[in-house]
Amino acid sequence: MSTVEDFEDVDAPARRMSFGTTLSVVGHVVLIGWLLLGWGLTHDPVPFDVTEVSVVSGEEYAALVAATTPQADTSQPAAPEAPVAPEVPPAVATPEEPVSPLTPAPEQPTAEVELAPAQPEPPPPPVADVTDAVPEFAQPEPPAPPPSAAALADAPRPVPRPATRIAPEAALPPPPDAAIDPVVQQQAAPDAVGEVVEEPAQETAPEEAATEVVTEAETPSGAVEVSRRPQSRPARPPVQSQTATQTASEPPADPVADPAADPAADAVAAAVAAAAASSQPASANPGPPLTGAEQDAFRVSVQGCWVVDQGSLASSVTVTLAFELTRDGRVAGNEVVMIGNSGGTPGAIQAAYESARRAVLRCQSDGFPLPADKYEQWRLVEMTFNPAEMRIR
Amino acid sequence: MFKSLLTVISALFLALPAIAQSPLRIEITEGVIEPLPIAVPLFQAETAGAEGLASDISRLVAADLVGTGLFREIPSSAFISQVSNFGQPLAYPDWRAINAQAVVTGAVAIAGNQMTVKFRLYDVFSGAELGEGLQFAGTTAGWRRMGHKVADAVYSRITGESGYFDSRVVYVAESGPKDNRLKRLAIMDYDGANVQFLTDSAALVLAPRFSATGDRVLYTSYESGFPRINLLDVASVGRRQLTTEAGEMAFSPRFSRDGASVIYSLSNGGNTDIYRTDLSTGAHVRLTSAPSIETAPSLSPDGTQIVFESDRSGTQQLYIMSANGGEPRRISFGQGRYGSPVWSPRGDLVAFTKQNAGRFHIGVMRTDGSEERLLTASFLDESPTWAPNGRVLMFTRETQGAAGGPSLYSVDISGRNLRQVPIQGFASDASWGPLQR
Repeated sequence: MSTVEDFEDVDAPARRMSFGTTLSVVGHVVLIGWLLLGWGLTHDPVPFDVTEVSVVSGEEYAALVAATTPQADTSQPAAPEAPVAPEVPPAVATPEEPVSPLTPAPEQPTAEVELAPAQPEPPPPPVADVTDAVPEFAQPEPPAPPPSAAALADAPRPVPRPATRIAPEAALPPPPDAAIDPVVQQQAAPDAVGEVVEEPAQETAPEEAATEVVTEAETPSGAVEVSRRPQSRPARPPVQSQTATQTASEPPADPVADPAADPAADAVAAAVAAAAASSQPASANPGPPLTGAEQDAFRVSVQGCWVVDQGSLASSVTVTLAFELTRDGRVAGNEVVMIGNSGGTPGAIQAAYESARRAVLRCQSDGFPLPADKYEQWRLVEMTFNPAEMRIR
Repeated sequence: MFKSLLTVISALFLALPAIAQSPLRIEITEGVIEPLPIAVPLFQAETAGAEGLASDISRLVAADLVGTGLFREIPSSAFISQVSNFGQPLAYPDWRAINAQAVVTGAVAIAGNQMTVKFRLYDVFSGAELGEGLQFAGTTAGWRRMGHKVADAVYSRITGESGYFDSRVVYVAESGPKDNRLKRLAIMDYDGANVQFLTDSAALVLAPRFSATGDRVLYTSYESGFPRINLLDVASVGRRQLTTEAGEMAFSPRFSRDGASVIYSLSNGGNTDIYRTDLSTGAHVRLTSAPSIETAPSLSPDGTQIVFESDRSGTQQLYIMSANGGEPRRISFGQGRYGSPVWSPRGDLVAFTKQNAGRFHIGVMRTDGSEERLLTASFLDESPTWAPNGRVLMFTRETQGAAGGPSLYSVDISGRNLRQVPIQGFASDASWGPLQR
């Protein structure tokens, strides 16, 4: 490279106009830093010629880049472009919502649940002569009293059954000889529709669940009206995937600059730094980032074990846990620490932390479903449990 | 000169990604709502003859916890290992295998009529004890209270909130035919056990209300033919009539949080307003002065505000005003009529009775009137009262027909876990007392 010589040439005359040069160099350095951190810049970097002042030799740079980038594109000048991912992983393109599809909860004939013992009148039974029922509405009608006039007036729609378990996705009562499997990532992953695993030998099914709490007073229809909710915050998954994308594609952002970082980010940074120091630095290739589906499978496998007590004070607390996973997908040393929380009294925070920790430890049973070849990507996990959408309102 | 500086800066920026590998960040926003599986192996009898009580207490602890709707008991037939010694470490894998998330072990020792109960609570999946082991001492006659205490401690360690099992409820016990119902005051444990009668059925009694400390009860009595407010000491069952402002009828009393004064409704010449009477000085203060009916006052936990019902708008609605009176603001705006508001001990909610379209509901709303939620619906639901931790409501449900009558029910504020309180005979107008010491 001739950049070094160019700089030396410029240096001698520059003694006369040292102020201008100083200004120029400082300005360039600020600009480089700004671009590296990617604050607010996604496209069209200012056409500056920073290449002229770069003094990192080509092989130095190649060595550094090779450590983190799968394909080292050394033909590019040393000026880092704004982080435009050359090959965008599917995670960015498909911001899946881990929300259940808006299908009405299937009606299922079940035994009477214990929700309302000795209840004078059960929730208004679906009326047989309703015409706007869902097609697969056939159900053996349990012996039900004739609906009262009030019930007829306002409950003509199919009603989700009260089940003892409320989960994001409704589930039919499992077959009698099916094992209840808390880890149902294949079945519940929103984007894994096409790959339903059929295991004729061993039958498992998710535990029976309804999607809503059915109080005695209100009989939610399962229609859109009950799911409307003020969108309190933008969806998080795209942010996560973008973070992951940056990690692997080009010089990533400094993790400390991540606005999503919690107050306890310094603790995380310390933990991460310690962990990074223990492993061989920059030699292990972390591999490609987790895809959206892989992240979803991980998420779903934990949320199935996260028991939220809606009426409690703990249901207003968001906690962030950090843990390290071993190669077989289990929590190393069963060690789960809380690195952040928001809202609530100390007692509620402790209860929320213990509940979230139980979810992680209980659902790891045989190891979380994570791709072994991407171990470095999921060795360290920060998991935020946010019950805001579960809260009763 | 700048070269070295630039080298350092550039190297710093380029080397950052190599040393800092960011952790995988996952956000969980959906969980499941289901009872937590818990195991309560039979408590150990540490002295001869304690077996019966040990068994009774462990059953009571399990019943308390399961009764909240937040826990599910794993039957002992599913246990892989038994707990044979209170001191021995728990075999966590055995409990993990049956998916028990928490295990309560305990031991009971008896000496004469004195007994001690101790317990430990284990968080199975983290493989550690939740809190320290605790021991309670008391008399064998009070074994139920000790069981409730253990259950309260377990509940509070798991949920982070105080329990409500070791508490009592005062209510109106009713008997006799519908057109000639005999009513008397009674007190019971929260679960319907240990019923004691506080008054005879000579005069009609209504709406008993516990003081914040649970040692006194206010109620409305028709002894003189007109409704008057009486004050009763629970321990001695001694009672006296409260001297109120002069008026035709005084009713709907409630203690202030400090127990030093009473707020109530007083009716005079067809107009009903809210008053406060200081119990020590006997001074009366009139808090409302509208020509409409204002009644059913209930104080906020901090004692600064009063929620009450009024028909000043034409229909019965809920209003909040300062505890010293002043201009009230309306908080209920839904369809139907709202009545008997009760401020939650947590301070965030107001429970109420709502009548709409021929049905009665028990509901809750925030103190600004938002987020109204109806929890029940029936022919007649009324008179909600809060559990001491603000988590559960008890209320009166009356059934239709000549043979129908009132009984007490409880429901979680999430609207789940509706249960009838098991009491012999009819019961109405409950007031849930504080957690006992």
